Amino acid sequence: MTLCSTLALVLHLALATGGVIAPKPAPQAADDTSGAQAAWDQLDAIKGEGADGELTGEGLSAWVDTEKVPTLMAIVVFGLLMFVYQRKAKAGQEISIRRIAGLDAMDEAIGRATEMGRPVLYVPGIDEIKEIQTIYSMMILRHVARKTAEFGTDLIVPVKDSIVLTFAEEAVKAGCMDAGRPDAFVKDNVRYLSNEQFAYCAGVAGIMAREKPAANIMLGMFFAESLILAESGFMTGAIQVAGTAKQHQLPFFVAACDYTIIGEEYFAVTAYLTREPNLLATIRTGDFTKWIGITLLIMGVVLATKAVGAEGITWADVFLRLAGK
Amino acid sequence: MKREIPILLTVLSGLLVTLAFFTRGENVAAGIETHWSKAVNAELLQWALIFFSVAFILGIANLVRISLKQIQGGGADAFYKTVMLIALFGYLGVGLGEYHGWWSFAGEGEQPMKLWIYDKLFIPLQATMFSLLAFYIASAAFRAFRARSLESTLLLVAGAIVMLGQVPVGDQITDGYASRWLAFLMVYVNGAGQKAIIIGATLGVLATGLRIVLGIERSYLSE
Repeated sequence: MTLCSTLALVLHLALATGGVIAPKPAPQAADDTSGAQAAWDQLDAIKGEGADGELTGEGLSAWVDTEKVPTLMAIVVFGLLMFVYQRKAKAGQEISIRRIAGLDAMDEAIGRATEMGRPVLYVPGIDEIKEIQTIYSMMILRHVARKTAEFGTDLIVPVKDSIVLTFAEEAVKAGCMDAGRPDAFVKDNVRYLSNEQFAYCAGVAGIMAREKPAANIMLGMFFAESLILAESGFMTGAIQVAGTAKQHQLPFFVAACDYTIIGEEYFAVTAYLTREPNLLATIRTGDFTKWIGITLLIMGVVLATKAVGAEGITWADVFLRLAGK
Repeated sequence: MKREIPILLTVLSGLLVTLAFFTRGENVAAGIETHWSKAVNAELLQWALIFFSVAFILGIANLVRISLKQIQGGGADAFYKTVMLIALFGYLGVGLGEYHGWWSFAGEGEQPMKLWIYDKLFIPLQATMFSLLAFYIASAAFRAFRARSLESTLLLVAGAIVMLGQVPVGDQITDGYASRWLAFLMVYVNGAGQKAIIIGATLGVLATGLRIVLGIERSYLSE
């Protein structure tokens, strides 16, 4: 992945310095009918933009934000790839997924809590339900609730947002139903603590200190409170599994937790746990998209290398551009 | 139908919000009107705000119910829950009273009591909680930087360079190399790693979003 990102930077450099994408030429005189200018004019007409880039109120720009068209195209391509892989999965093609230690550890953590007769604490992050990581955390919570219900272990879910509270209650209830143990749902164990970040953090730390859960599972969107929660949990001796796609908080979790689910692994949890072909197909789509990206990046490396020496570009220029200078 | 209707609503709302993202807003100069999907999206956001307000009451109800039970049970939490309930309803009373003019604790030209409580009590308490982070960083770093394996040794060396590069004395004792190594580590090594995580997470977000919007992922629904 690091290589992948380095290559992304190089591609950016190649496009910028190698002249791979030729800049749009300055508007020529009205009588200029050269092929390049005519093509640009035609494209402008389709987009509904004038020579200076101003909107004309016609064409595509009348109702589409043309600056977002590349994003739309990327989503469409991704969606089509997903469709293809789903068809393959439905046709019986086996889609394997690599072992993710952090996800395997969740069962281990719940099992340990069961053996010790202590509860499991599930922290779904501190963001609102509109955040995709929080929505996803609710899906994982359902699986965790199913496991705890099967094992007959208490599950405590403190939440920061009142909408998340209703989702969390539903997720835990559904998980208990999945396990065939609707009686395992304890309404008082899904707790709204506070809408304020550090008040919530203090509340969770208090639960860790007083109720001493044997397993802390922290999955979702975290900010500055991540290390306070993880260290508080560490001090109680609980086995800790944390995961987030928020890259700035990952080092804290890596330092303080037993297992960390990093970035994209976080979004693979339901596919990994259920092994449902439809969901596995979306993971494969992401992998394939990465291969497309890597191919483009290698092309970028080649082009950037070729750019050195051309038009007075030196390796020093290349590195300065990489460093954002 | 208990499953189909929520899925249908999710798919329709998801597609509508996606459409609103890609359509154009009003541009008077070009004579472009706001696309209808943006108007519907704005209306949906208003509905969401109403949901949030109602859910806030549910949150408080949950908090009060559980706290009262714990106070009745007389466990370790009882004292803290009592303080919390007094603070909750006390602050609510102060705020409501001052808003409606039933009472005022502040003198002429002074800030209202509810703001005084917030500024002088709540913000320092939050800052206290946040300041704990400094000690937790030290204890977590102490554990992480133990040179037990090749990876942790690399982490230790990188951490030492970053710390040296951040302080003037680091440059003094390394003849200016510390800040250069720091820049190299942060721009190339750390930057590349972070971008790799961002790329992977973005693809994960895209896949999850599509799974939910297209109704493939249904585990958020109850049976």
